[in-house]
Amino acid sequence: MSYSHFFYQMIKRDFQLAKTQKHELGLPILFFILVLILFPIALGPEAGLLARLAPSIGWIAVILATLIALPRMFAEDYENGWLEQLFLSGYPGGLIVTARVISFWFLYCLPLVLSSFLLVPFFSFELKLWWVLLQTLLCGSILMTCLGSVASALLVSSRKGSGVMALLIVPLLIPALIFASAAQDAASLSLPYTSPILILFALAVFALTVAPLATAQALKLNLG
Amino acid sequence: MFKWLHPYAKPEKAYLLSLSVFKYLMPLSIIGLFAGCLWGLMFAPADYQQGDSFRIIYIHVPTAIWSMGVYMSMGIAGFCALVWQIRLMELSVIAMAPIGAVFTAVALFTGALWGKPMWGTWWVWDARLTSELILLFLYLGVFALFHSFDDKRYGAKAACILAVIGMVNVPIIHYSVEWWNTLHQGASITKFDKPSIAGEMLWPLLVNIFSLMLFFIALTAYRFSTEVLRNESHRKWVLELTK
Repeated sequence: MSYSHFFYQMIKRDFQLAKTQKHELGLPILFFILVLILFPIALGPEAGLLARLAPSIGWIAVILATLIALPRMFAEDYENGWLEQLFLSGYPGGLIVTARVISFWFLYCLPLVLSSFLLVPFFSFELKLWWVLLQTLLCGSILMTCLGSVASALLVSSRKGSGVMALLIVPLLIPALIFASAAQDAASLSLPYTSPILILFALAVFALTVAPLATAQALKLNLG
Repeated sequence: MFKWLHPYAKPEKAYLLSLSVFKYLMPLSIIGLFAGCLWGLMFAPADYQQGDSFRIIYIHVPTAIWSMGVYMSMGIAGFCALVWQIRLMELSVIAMAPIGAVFTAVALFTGALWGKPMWGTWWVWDARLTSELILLFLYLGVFALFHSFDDKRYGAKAACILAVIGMVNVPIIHYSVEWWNTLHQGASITKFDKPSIAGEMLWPLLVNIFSLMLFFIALTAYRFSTEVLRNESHRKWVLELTK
């Protein structure tokens, strides 16, 4: 099998498996919505305040929901031995991991990012500003998936992993959050906001280039 | 160089070397720290604006500098461990992580103490404070990752990977946070042409910075030697040593 065909087959397999376990795909989104609901209740229903906080709340909720989904990235394939077979097959580890990262992003992160549209009715968030939020979240979620793939690969064989996951990812995500909020601030003042988004995108591309190599290393380590 | 370095890949040699490093550097660093603190706290002139409260600089700045220096050396050790597959290097990463975390915590704590009289608040969300706080969590992450595995070998290797990723990320975090918000005063002694701190105040600070480095090396050597012993506890030379 050529590399590109193998890559395609890997992604296809992930989508077919996801089709059989639809309820698992929904859980992070439900969690995301629950976090969104908590904020108006805690802050009070004042529309102006909620609209101002909406982008930051959206980002925090996406980060938390991704943290919920991330341990699933390699866990199942690791437990049933599929991952070990893949790494024995002689295909480059980076390729295997990149395929998984991409399918994970499509299955878990993209729905989350799109469901940030709920901020518009719930938080009386302006549609124009949501468009900016969507762009920052699209770039940011790629970065999150890449960093998360490393962390979940590191913790795949650990029994006490779930609490450590947040400790590994959140500090590394802070630059993304900073650039996202910079773009949001600029957009809310109707200033040009392209440059923070471009930096965010550059970070995402950098992570997508480097993280699969680290993830493959971490998986090899766990497979012994 | 490698011919000279080669024998120290053997745990026994490395153990003896680190013990002797500890034996020589520990007293030296304690004398240095004692002298530096005494000089700084008793004899250096008081600042014309900040009065005596500036004297916490003699603890704050050395720990802050080495909190970053320790992370750098940890990352480099982790990189070497992963690339050349040197087992003892993995142990050195584990040896350094808690020391760095303590340095970071001390820097944050003394910074808060200094911030209260000077800025009127314990904590501000300023760039340097924030990146120092993130650094603390990066250290804790390395340490927590090491302890979340039953097999110490896996734990150490995983910690090495995380240290290397962190090392790539530390500059990104640092500059992005800097860009986000800055209140902290600029660096006063790294400007080589003309330091903006008086000489009588500078010398004890330099003494403290240098002796804290020695202190770090000595502590690392000690922790490293105990880690080596724990890892090699079933080997013959350890059994002979403990007899």
